[in-house]
Amino acid sequence: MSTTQVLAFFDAGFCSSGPTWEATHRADHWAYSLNQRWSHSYQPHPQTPAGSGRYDLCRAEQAAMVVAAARNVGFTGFVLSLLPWNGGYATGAELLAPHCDESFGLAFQWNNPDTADDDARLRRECRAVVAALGSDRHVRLGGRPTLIVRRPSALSDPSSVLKALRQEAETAGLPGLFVIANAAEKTAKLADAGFDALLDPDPAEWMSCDRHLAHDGFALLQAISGNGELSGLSDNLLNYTTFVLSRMNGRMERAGTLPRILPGFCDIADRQDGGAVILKEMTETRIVKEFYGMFVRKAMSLVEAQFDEGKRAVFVDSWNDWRHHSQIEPTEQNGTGLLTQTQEAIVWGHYLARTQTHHLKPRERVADGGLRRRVSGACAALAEKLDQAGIQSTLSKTIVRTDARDQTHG
Amino acid sequence: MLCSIAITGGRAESFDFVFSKGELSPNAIFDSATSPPGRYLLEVGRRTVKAAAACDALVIGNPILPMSGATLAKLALSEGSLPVPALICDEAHFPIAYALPRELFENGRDRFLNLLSTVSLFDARFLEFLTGKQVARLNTKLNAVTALPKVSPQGFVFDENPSAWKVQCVNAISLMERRQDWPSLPLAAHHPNHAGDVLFFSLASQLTKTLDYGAHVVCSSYVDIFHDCGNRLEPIVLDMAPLSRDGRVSDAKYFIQSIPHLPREDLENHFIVFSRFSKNYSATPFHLIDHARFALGDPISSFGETLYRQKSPPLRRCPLPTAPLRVLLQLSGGWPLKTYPEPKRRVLIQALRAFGCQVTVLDLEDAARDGAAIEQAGNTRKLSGLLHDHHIFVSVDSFPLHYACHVVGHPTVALFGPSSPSNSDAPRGVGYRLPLPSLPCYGCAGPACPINGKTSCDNYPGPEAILTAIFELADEVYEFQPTGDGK
Repeated sequence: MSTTQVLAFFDAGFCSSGPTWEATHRADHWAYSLNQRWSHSYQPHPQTPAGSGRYDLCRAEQAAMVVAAARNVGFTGFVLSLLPWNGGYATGAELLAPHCDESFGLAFQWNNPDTADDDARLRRECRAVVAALGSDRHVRLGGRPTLIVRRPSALSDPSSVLKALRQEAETAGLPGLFVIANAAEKTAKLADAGFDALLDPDPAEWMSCDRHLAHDGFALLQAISGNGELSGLSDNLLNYTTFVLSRMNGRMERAGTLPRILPGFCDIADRQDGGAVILKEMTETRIVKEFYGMFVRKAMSLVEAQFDEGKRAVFVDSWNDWRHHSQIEPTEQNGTGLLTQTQEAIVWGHYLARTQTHHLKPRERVADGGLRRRVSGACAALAEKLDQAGIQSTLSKTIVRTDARDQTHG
Repeated sequence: MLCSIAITGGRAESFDFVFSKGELSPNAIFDSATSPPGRYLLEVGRRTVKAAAACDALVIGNPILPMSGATLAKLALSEGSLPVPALICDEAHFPIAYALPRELFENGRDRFLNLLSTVSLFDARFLEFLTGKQVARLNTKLNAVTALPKVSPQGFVFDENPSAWKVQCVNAISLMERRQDWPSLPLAAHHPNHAGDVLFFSLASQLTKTLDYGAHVVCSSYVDIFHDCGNRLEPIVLDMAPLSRDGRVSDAKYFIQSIPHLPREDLENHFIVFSRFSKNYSATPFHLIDHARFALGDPISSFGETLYRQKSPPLRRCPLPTAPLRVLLQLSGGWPLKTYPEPKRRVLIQALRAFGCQVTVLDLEDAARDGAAIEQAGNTRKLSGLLHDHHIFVSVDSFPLHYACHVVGHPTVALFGPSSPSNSDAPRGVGYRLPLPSLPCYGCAGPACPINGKTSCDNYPGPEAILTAIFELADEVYEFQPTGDGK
């Protein structure tokens, strides 16, 4: 078996009491997630849960059933969100941990506030974050518990936050932290902050298309005259295939970024007045039907090639985020299709990863950063020269970012 | 899904199997595109006998139908005792399962199950020869299997393949009628083209531990490949032009049309099995050499048995001085999308030259304008000579690539774009580089990309990645480091 961990984002709000239930501030999380008005032609049709149904994680046998289903698909852990509660954080880990072990653990995502320059607050926050992680049942990357910082760009000084988090972890007796920044690239202040890896942001955080319709007067007049949807003018409809291709294009050169894989996405429920992001397939071709599975297994294959052993992970978003239509749990409308596709893709991905390992021959020699820079410079210069000679070049999309690559291979 | 029932002293035990997507285990069966349905019947039978060692008889579901052991039991055993051998059919005589005596899997005749047609009339007659007994045909209450899809969710391609399975079975019955000594005759795999596929089958014959076959039908134009790759099977030379890749003639039709072109003597002495693609190979992660090994008889029931854990040929170095570094490029393949895109190709060739390398390109006259020498490699001897005279070989997914890394052991950079690396790559390690394509799409054999409509593939790695791989290999194999900045 390959060592790539496959983790799923998990909404632990589906419980009937306790800290996580209180932290969600709602009586019925299922109703909140499922009862959505179908108001736009392009909005995904509402789905209702099948399989485990509307489970209550407070009931041990139902929590066990959910964990068992995820294990069966091939997941090695869930990612739980830290929800502000009672001056600290609730995660729902206490509901799932009894059913976890060394082969299935829990990772965490911190929806961090902007800490500005308030050192005392920063220290309190970091202490609360580490306390919420608990002491065991962790998904370990690099041998350490895993924490995703959801809004790293909101941190005025990420490196000091990381330092504080790690100090708190040490104080708590943890073997350090594997901290992942939810960001596409190590730009500006993230470059030297000391994150262990990056993670592709979700579609709402990483727009690859302009919101051009908002400025289209013709479309506006059409909507006002009743021939279009007004809120739709500012919604962003992303074609699934195009979105996946743009995420994966040049991935081998974007070293250090772990893939986030989605089967779909829609946050209209949070943005009834417009500005929603909808990720869905617009066309029906042979290749499109299998594209999500291909996304999973290709991501696993690339992670195997790019990351060191013990630090390999792909993140499926999500196991049960029904509110944002990204869940892979069975539905009454589509059955277990996504779950089966995920299961097969994970098996396939592990197989690919094994074919890429060095077993009978010594490991290959890897070029150093200097050679890569020379090669990259030469190719860029030649591409430009050929472009000027009237030849359309596709090179610009794939120029090696040597600085980013050096951090991994240097 | 695949299924069986073992009958032991009147007691039935059902078994379920799946076509593997990567996990190989007693119940996950290798998914081989070059195996006809009968090969799965054979494998399910062998595994069932292994699991139920004392069984008297087996009922095996028709591999082309999705069926669980429980469903099979309901259909096959509802009428009480079951005669063996028998064909269990739907209400319109389509075979949904085969009841077979256990001794068939012990007397060496089980290999002939490869020849089944999935047509009850022919299969019943064929099994009569195979078992030496009358074969009952039992209809069940299952509605008639009338419309098979073009491609099943399990990957079987039903377009014209059923006619090939039918022809192989009818020919086999005819041979059994003519020859008393038919049990001693070998199976011949009809997999006559293309060049890369002949190479894969040849290498598979070397690696297969349990060969159910004795011969391999190969087009006369690929006999050099057959011999130079060390095929263990006996060649049956097909004097006919290889199948065109334009898609106008299917593998199945070509198989049927080729039978009269085979030497009469070979037809009299072999059972010819349709061994081209009964399934879609890119719908599995497995290497085509392993597809062929399974077809030829190996169960490949663990990762340790796959190609990736078999011995590779020793590394062969170019004996010429490393300055200038000589690089041989094969940038076009079997169909248009496989050709490495021209703008990237021009940068690659010019960049290599800017770093002082000598560049030779196979089969692409147009590359001469960027300063490359142009050569043709019409046969394996010529290709071997060209490899011998170049330090590094760079190739798209094509015969020369497979020949260089699987047969010669030449330092090679493999380029994949529209096809999946795991179907035709080589074990990783010194002397081999595969800059991974990063897009999740592949399996595109049409004239244009199904996503963006372009006639070139965007999934190929860029010239920088290839150049880096070339220099990594040059350093690794020849201790060569490029000088200058390539400008």
